[in-house]
Amino acid sequence: MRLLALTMFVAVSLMPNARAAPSVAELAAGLQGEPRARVDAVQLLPRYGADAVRAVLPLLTHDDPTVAKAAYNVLWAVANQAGRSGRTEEALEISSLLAAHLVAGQQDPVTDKLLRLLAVSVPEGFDVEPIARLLGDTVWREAARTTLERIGTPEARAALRDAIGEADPAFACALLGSLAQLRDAETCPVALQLTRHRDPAVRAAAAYALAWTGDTDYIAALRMVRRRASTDTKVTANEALLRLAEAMSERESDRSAAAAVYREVLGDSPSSAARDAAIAGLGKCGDAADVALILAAAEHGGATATAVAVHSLAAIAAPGADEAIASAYETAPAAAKLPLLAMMGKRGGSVLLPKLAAAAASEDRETRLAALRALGDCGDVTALAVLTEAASTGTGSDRETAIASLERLASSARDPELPGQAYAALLVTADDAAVRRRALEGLAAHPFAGALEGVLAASRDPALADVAARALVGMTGACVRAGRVEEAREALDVITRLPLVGDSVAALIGQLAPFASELDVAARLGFITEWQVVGPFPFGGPGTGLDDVNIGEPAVNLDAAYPVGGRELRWIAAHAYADGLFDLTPLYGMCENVVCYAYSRITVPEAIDAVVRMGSDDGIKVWVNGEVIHNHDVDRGSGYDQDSAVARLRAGANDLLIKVSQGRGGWNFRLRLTTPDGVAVRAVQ
Amino acid sequence: MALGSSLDRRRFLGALGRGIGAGAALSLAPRMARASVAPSERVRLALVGCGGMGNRHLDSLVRRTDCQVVAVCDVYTPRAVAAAQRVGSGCDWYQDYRRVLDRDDIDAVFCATPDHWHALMTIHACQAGKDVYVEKPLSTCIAEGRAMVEAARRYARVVQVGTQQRSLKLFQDAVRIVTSGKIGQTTSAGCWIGPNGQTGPETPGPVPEGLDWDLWLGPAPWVPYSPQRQFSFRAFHDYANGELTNWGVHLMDIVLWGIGEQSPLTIQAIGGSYREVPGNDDFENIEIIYKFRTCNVTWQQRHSDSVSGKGYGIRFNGTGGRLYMDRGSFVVEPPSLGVSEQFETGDPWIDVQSHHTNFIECIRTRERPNSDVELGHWATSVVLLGAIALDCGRDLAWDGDAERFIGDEHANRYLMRPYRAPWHL
Repeated sequence: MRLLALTMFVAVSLMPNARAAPSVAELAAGLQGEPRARVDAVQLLPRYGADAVRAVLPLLTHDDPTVAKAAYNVLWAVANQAGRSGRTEEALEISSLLAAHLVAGQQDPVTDKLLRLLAVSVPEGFDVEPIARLLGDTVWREAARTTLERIGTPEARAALRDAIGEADPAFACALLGSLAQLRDAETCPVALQLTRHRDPAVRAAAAYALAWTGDTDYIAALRMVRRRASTDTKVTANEALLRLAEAMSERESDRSAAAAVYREVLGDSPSSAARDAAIAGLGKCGDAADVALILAAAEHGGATATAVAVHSLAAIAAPGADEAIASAYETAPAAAKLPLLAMMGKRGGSVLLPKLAAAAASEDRETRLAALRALGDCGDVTALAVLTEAASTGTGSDRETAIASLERLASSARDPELPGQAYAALLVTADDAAVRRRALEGLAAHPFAGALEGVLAASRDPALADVAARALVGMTGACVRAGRVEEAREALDVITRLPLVGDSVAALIGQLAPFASELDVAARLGFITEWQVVGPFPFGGPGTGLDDVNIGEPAVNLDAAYPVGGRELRWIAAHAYADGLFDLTPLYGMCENVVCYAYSRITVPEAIDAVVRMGSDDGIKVWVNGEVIHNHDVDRGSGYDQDSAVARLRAGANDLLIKVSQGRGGWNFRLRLTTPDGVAVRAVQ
Repeated sequence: MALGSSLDRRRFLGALGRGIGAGAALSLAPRMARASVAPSERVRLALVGCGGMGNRHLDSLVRRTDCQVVAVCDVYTPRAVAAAQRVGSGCDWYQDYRRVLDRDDIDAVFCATPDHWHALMTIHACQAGKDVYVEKPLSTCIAEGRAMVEAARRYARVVQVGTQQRSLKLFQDAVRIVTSGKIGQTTSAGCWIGPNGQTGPETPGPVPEGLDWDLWLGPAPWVPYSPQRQFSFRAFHDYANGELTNWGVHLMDIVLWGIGEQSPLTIQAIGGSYREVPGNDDFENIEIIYKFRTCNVTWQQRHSDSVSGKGYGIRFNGTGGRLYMDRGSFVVEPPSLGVSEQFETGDPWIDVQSHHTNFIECIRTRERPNSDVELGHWATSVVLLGAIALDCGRDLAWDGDAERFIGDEHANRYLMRPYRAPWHL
């Protein structure tokens, strides 16, 4: 009968209709045809919504599993697309079509598939009775329950609730589980009643269905369920009470009630897992008095319980908790003292840090080392002096620990000034080259003007010169910001004797921007700042080459005039900015597809092999003493040291000519001289 | 019950089916001297799931001196027996993981089962006071993942997810480069891998001897046994979502780490199988685009796809350069950034040792491990969101704080998979 009905659907769907080709019928036929046609059908059929459902449903029972699977995939897509907002009518129609073919009482792969489809197709407002009916069917009740759980509409929830009364204990548990998952408030009165059910499994499931509410009215019921739990339901009953307490602890008004539940579990639970949970819970909502309780509980639970307790104490936020922890530390068992010190470091604060500082001077070696380690985690400036002292004057493990802690202090600091200070202390106290290198890297990221002397000293160490240079870049900026301009100048003198290219140059200039002119940064970095320029000349645009001759280059005649477009272009003198950038747009305005030339005569005392480093927006061509050393036709924005080329400079005067192209947008260049290894060359301009 | 005895196979498997531990199995595994850590201080471990990944864990664990595998478990008893045999004396085997959790002398459980068991087993282990190393993906739906995080926190357990790339230096270095700004501001990231494989049509048949099929299915819907489901479970959406939830979690985890985010704002996904590929629930080819607060993120499964010779991997594109990598190496471009290609020195395919070390250290210190359950939840959630967008066939907006889709109650149905009784979350 069922297949006959399905076949009738097919017959209807295969009738000629007014749709444009390909029709549903053709596509449904394609689904059963050659692989290529099947692929097309799977892609296109979902467009036809309910019509596709009618056409494809019969194919769920097709002998060829490939066809049956393809049909299911089409239905899956249709069922999902009907879930889109505003398509409720379509979803209702599709769900009705699917639900009409559910069959109770026998194992049947089609009903399984239909339930899976209904789980996603059924919209709010759909009468779920055809599915709910299966809740009483021994074969399909589980699948029907999970389907209704996924549907989750008010109608589905009501069907699940209604089924509880008739269900055997095992299925009642399953139904309660679904309603707990759906956080169904209307289930609560029923669930509350069921916490007194004769079957412990039902009682535990009912407790679960109440736990999510965090309602203090349910404490007594869940407590009772827990007390009456059987061996098999103990874990679930515990979990329900813990979940209730957890949900309560989310509300400020119920935190003390939640803490009371945790204390109760801690006091009477034989399960170490439940006790650990209670300890962790008290960390979230307990008060200062719980500090001693938590520690006492941990005392009997071994190393793991101690560690759990200490982590719990780290989280406890109640007023007076620090004082309670400080007091508890004094009387804590030996096994807990060291973990407590570590935790105190993480908590920090004015009450605990003096305790740590005192412990760092303890006669007991383990205590001393634990305190030094903890100070490294506190992120507080008060740790700096203690750790610096121990790193400077301590010996052996004390010193090693203090140095390691200084490094951690730098990376965990809460005060923005502290990392630089800690890295500075690390730099001067550590011997290990790798640690000193990390200290310098830290200072590069967190410049601290007070570290200048140490960094300057490190810059003389060949193994550290590169990272010291980066640190000095940051430090110079820090000196500038601190108003210590002379020290900045001193640092800059050192920096400019070090190899410095690309990002490091950009970083240095970025740091020194407000004082770039005062510190003569551009010249110190080898930038050519004084130029004669002429332009703009027509240009074919980026990619057309920079080889058109406009001024008779490479020869330069600063007195010449060049007629272009009815006017005469002449050389004019102009400077680069203090950061080395020569911007052409203020001179020539916003131009497109033009070039200009810039010329400078520079003097060096002796012949050298120099590297000309340049950035340009857009392309650039460079002549040195009449020889082309670089030609890069490109469309780009400018940066520092984007290109480089080697040039032989002779002693005395050298002629430098460049040609800079402009496609559109910005138009500028930067050019500087360095030695081959990147040290700035200061030429007289 | 020693393997290699004259006990006939049927009686032997029958005994296994009753879950009787074999404490005296012969050792085939290479053993190192364990004298360096006192037996009382060794972490006592159990392995649940003795298939491919379970055995990789075992390879590493049996060589360690700071832990001891005292129990192995698999619903397919031949695998449990073989695993116990590899560990040697002092290791019992089980078919039902609940019997493992009943033991008070076990500190931690490795869960290397098919994906649909990860959540429940982890939560039950936490409830039993065990720490957990759980394979990725963390879960098969987002509600499971959140419940796992809550269970770990509720019971103060250490839960490490098997996204072991977090413990590999190559990935740590790569992420450090990205987060340091070396490639500028990261505005796009993504990962790619080949298309989903194909299993062919299912061929249901009798349940193999020694397999508890009902327990294998666990919370998943009941279906008849088929070898495709047992051995290619990733192709079936009752248990997984193909490579998206397999490799996708590994790769997306690194993306999230690099971009410093945890959840997307929107998800767009398309999938298709454009040739005859019967059997799978997965699309063969998939493209997913996520919009995060700071950048776009993509997931791609294409034929013949590679980035500079890497057939799978992760990429970060910044305003000043890009980094792309797989488990073999990472490359930073342009060369002017001055970072040369960095290679993995060990065998990245099996190097779970550093992740194990981190886990065992955290069991002692109670610190959060490198792949803490919350991190695993984030990475798994991102790929699951992609899977939901594929199912729904429309763009989705995501509220990461509430872990709900915005304005799409239909899509929200996919946040939880209803469990088959008696299992419940």
